[in-house]
Amino acid sequence: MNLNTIREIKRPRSSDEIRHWQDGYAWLAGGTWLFSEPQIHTHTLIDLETLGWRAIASGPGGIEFAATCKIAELYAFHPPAEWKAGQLIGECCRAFLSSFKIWNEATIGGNIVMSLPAGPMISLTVALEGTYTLLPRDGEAREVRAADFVTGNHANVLERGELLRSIHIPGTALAKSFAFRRSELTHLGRSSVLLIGTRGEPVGGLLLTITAATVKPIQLTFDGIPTAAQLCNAIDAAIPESIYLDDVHGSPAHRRHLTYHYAEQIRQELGA
Amino acid sequence: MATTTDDLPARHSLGKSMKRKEDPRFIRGKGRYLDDIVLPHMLYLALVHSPYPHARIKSIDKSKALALPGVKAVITGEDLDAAKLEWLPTFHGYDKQMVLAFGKALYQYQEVAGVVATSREIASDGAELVEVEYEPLDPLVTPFQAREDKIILRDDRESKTNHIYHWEVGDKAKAEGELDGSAVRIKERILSPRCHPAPLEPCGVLADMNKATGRLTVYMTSQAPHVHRTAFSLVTGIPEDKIHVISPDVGGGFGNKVPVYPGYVVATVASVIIGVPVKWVESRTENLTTTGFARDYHMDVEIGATKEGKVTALKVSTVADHGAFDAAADPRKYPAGMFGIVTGSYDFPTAFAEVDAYFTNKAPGGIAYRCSFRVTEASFAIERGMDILARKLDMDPVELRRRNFIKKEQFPYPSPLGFVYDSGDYEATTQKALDIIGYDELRKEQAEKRKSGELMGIGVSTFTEIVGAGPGKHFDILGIKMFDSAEIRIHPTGSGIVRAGTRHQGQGHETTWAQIVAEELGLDPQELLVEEGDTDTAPYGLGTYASRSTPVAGGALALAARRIREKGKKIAAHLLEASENDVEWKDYKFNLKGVPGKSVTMKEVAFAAYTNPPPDSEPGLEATYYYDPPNLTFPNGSYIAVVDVDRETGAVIVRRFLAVDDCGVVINPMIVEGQIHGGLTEGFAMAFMQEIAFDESGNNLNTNFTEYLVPTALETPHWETANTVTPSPHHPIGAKGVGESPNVGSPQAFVNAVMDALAPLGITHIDMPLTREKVWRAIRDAEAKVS
Repeated sequence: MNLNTIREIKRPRSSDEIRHWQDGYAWLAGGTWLFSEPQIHTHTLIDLETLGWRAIASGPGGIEFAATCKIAELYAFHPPAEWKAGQLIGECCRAFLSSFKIWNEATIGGNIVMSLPAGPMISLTVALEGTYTLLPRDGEAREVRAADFVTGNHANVLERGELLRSIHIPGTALAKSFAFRRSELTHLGRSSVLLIGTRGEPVGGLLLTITAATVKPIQLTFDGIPTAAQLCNAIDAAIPESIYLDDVHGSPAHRRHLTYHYAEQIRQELGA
Repeated sequence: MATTTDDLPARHSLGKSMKRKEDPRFIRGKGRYLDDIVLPHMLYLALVHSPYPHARIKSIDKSKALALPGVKAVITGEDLDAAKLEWLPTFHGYDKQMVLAFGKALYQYQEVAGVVATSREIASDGAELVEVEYEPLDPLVTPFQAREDKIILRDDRESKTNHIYHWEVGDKAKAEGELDGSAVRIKERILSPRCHPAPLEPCGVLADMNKATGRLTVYMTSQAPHVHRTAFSLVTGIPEDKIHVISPDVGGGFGNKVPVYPGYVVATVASVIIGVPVKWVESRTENLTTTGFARDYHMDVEIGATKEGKVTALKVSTVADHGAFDAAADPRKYPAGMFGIVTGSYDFPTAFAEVDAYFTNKAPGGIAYRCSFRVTEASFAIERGMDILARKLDMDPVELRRRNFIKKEQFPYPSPLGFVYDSGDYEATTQKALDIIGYDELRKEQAEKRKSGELMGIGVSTFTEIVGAGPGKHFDILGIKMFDSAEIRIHPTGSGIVRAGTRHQGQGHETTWAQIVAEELGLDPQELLVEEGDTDTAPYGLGTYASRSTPVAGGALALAARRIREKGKKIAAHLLEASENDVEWKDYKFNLKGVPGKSVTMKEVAFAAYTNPPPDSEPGLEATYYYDPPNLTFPNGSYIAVVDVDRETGAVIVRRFLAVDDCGVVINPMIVEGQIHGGLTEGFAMAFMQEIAFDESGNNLNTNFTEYLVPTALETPHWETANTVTPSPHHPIGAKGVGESPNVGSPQAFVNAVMDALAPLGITHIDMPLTREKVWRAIRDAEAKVS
């Protein structure tokens, strides 16, 4: 779509060049959402491409993804085999509402800061206990747990002009066993429910991440493998009915039902 | 006895899976579609759409848009009204349709104004600057609201009601009497929901008015170029000889590219006024929200039967949602199209069908999506009804169908609703399907699974389609009889050019038309160039939709070729120095009777036609035929779906799907199989994924491919296909047409299979689309009743 309100495109070499944030500014990453609908209040795009951030850096402590890492780059990245939960990268890339062509432009950061309930990069990074590095316009960088970043449908903790710089995924989370469940109307369509369970081996606790079904990610931590009743009670306590999403991809009632259903499947799979 | 394609005698060109002649250009990206055409000084049109489903238009301010550099014109309904171009006649002539909303907007996304500019982007920017002041009005979202007449939608009509028409066929009193007296009776409201064909290439036009010649050339995504030429002439008053319509390569139509849309008219008006070419190509959202939709029939189906399962009567009462205008491209005599096929493959002693149509605040249309004028709705109604009856009788649904099939010796079969079926052998087609799928074994497997609570279903659809409109005595568009045409010119060297009044959008006419002509003349189909879509060169035809091309134009092609053969016989006699009576056409050449080896080929005849014609005869070798078929054709099929339903999630897995089709004589088995694969995929989409839904305020909820779902290879089941052949006795080559059969026949097979799976829970019917949520809800509600 032609953004007919844009008057300037800035291409900074460093994010520090953009000190004075103004109304009408927008960070431009892949642009797949930005160019998909009118942005009537936006007059200046600040292209992150010229910052030249390294897409992926992997070491013993984990993986560091730049916010500008393309989904195609992420999908092509194969973590070491001992990082079993690294397979979630592929699962979550395939959970995108997009084709492989969009993967060539869309970025991890763009999906996260959009903060839509079905954002699969949110599912991935929350489930893998990620930490986001945020760059405020007038202060020091700060870190936020991925699980705390999204606060509602299309809402997050970013301050005005604040930029998502990178995502750190700890190796400890990547080393866990995992179980993945997703419901969607079409394979390449938007997720209506996406649940991920991880469990440290050999006797770690269950970490259950619920996304897409709810307007924001919900994460439940258990010391061990809960009983079915404990799991249900925990979901009951953590998710009021009001935060189950309602759209053409599913009603709150169906999403709620599938959340319990998949959670139980995950409990059984990781508890086996 | 029906036979299969494999059983037929070897032929010259028919029945061969010849590769498609058009594909080399398509797979190389060399197709030439509307948006590939760029003309000098071309301008672009963008349309302004109403955000409200029902609103009074208080004012339109063009000034800001006109002030934008590059904007050349802003056109509103008032402008068109001043030029007497504000209303379009609908195809059957029962209604008229606004070009641009004038006075009131009658559906969300209705076209309100057009902005013409030097680029697509500027036109789009200009459209955003057109300021329209609306006064929102209460909308009519359902035909049931509409029929109360508390809000009258159409101020322009003398008749102050939302009721458009009542149409009926059959003997109502007799049908109701038989139903009352039947030992067993079912009644079910069955919805065929509003959906959309969503062709990959949306609709568009490039109008080029040449003020020097006074000639208007219209490039457009058209399934019926000649009809569109006539429509343009009627609307604009430009003589038809001054209008040249060209339909370039078309990327799918499914009926969506039959109607005339406001964008076509506004672009043409702009070109006429400004004197330069003006292009309009719609967006996906425009396509889904404003162009011809499909279905939206609410059908009350009643069937009576004896305890032994012999049907006694059928009554179907339908409430139809036509949107804001009655713009369905139905024939004049048939406002509800061919809904009279609702008795299907079954020998009903009596039947009655009625349709009441209403205006609502939705986009107009109604017959698109690979449907021969409401046949999909009719087929869905009867096949669902028969399944529900079988359940009530506690009878196998195949057995019930077999007890009621029209027998092959009953053809030609006059149905109680007025059609005369041409041919069929439903028993043989169904038996073939049962044998291939292993029906008895599947039933045994199902019985075992039911013991453990697993939900496995087997769904059957033994449908009869009706296609091939004409005949002209019954069917028309704009009053023009629904014949079709062919023109064949054979060149001196034996190659030739074949032109037809049809316009393919993926059907493969460039190949199959060549095969028909090659079969009749013994020529090489590779050396027969097929042209369609240009009204200056092709003979007048009614176009390609409703599976009519092969039944109608296919007949014209064969008969035009036979005219060439007649003339060829005279030339052959001249070459053989024999009397014409001593020459016969046999083994694809002209032979001198009783003299083996004495023969001439059509190629030799063609050369002689130009170099050595018989004395006193006209040189050249060409013929034209306008074919008005004596009857419709009645393709049929037996489809079987096997599904597994996940009780917990409501997800349905289509494990197997078999389609056994009988479309008469097959011209190209590969192309027919491709047609069936495509139609089954669309039927699958309708059954499980697709609906254009509206909220209570009349807002369209499915405006893009995120929300209106199109199956990809990932969702699409594996298709198994087979066929039987009962030639149409009245068609010149015995063909019946196949494009729509899989779409018409398959949705009910899927739905019947799911309902069969859910039968142990007491679930009788769920309306399409069978999303996993709907299925889950039905299961949940049924289980709640039990507990």
